[in-house]
Amino acid sequence: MTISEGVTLILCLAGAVFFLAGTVGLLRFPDFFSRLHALTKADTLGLGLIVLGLMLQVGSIAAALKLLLIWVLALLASTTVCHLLGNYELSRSSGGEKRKAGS
Amino acid sequence: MNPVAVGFDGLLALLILFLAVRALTAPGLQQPVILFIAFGLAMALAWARMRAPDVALAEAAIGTGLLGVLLIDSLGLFTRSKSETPPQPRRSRAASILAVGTTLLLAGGLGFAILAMPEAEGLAAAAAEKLGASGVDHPVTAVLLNFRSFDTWLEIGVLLIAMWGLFCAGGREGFAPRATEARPGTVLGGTVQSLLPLVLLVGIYLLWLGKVDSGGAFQAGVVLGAAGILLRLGGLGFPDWLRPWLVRTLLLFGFAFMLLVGLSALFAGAAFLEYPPTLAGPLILAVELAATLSIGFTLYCFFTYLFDLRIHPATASSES
Amino acid sequence: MQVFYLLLGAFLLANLAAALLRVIRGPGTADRLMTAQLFGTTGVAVLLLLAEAMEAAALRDTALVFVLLAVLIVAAFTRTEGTEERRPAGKGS
Repeated sequence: MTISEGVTLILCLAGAVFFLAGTVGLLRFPDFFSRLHALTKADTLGLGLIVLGLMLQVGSIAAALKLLLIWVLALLASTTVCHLLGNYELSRSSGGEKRKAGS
Repeated sequence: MNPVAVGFDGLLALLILFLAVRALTAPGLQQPVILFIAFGLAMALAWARMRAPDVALAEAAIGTGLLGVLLIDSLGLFTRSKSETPPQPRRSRAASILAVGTTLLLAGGLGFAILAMPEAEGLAAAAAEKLGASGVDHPVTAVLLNFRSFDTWLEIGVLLIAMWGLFCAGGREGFAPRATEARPGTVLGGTVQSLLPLVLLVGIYLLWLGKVDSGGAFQAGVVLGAAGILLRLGGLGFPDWLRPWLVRTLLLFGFAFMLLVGLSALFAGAAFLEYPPTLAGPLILAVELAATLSIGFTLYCFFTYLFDLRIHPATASSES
Repeated sequence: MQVFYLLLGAFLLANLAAALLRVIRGPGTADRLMTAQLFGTTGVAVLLLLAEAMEAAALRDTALVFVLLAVLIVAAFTRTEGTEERRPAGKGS
């Protein structure tokens, strides 16, 4: 096994650990906001580590950049989704009274 | 085949089966919808494992992305009505037994038909042999847009008919132009702004990719339709300049264009939708462009129609 | 290496299966949608691993389309379901 393969192995395994952490958090945490917090951060980082690991193996710069793009997009999506869901739950649980419209 | 691959496939198969059963039996509407979205994802992975990246791509774009949005959209229409719980259809035992019996019979019949089929090599070799005359380099595109372009044409027709059904059910005024309610300061607005150019680019990339690799009109159309949906979600209403006649023209365009191409082939003495080999490449590109445009626009209309019906019901505008 | 990628993919699939419990248990729609989001991210990771394990570069495009559309479902849900969205937002702001 070459050094780059070893690095890939370690990065991917670390990514898997974060995915596991996210799932455990999703199942075990007591309320919605903790679960949201655990999930959206952990699995995005997990994906990032796996992407980083795979980038060492794909061979061409174009493919590596595509992988990076996928991760950046995942970051964007995950952040937005986290915000939208958190906001939705917040306005729902407080009856929507405290929120200013259009913010 | 190594044991790890078998393990992976086995796990995936179990997951798909579980999702399918659970999506059908779960109570209410919400849970089945989300399970169905997950089912689409698992199916995309299964197609990937079966070395069918074209289908995986289509499943990812249509099954998970677009269908999910449409289902969530229609889910809102149901739960909006007075009671929070959707009316449960009454089931009689006899009907259930009949349904299960028919399904089992059909599955058994299909299984028998497959087992009783004579050994054949399929059409892969025949398709590969004619690839040179098809005008494209990717066998899947050659099949979809040349050898079996009839199927693709009718698929676009199905979309058109579905849109027709929506018009009939919801009335045409669902497409009244909407005031833009863009909220550029919000997170969603910002995300839409940064995603949109990329979504358009990927749509065009997929269309262009169809000539040599997995991609093509349907996938590109879905991605372009998603761009429109993003715009609507970001607050850009159904634009003013989209007059009703323009909407209808755009909806019809792909279907009509393929019909025109097919008929001209007939008049030139060839079969319906048979392209002359020398013109096949450009013709396929033109047909794909037209189809992409129409598919994308139709899907955008599906969404916008349901969405506007939901946020500002056309008939109850005096409410707000 | 191929075997490693597949093993990792299988592990992520097992993760997905476990997360299904949250879809079934709920309690709210937001919880369920959050799990759908996890499905998306994990699915992308599995697709990328498969692309490497099976040497099928086209699967990376599938993953790309996946992440591009990842935001749609939740955005559509909160835009139509969110409390402040019940009234047209254009009037207040």
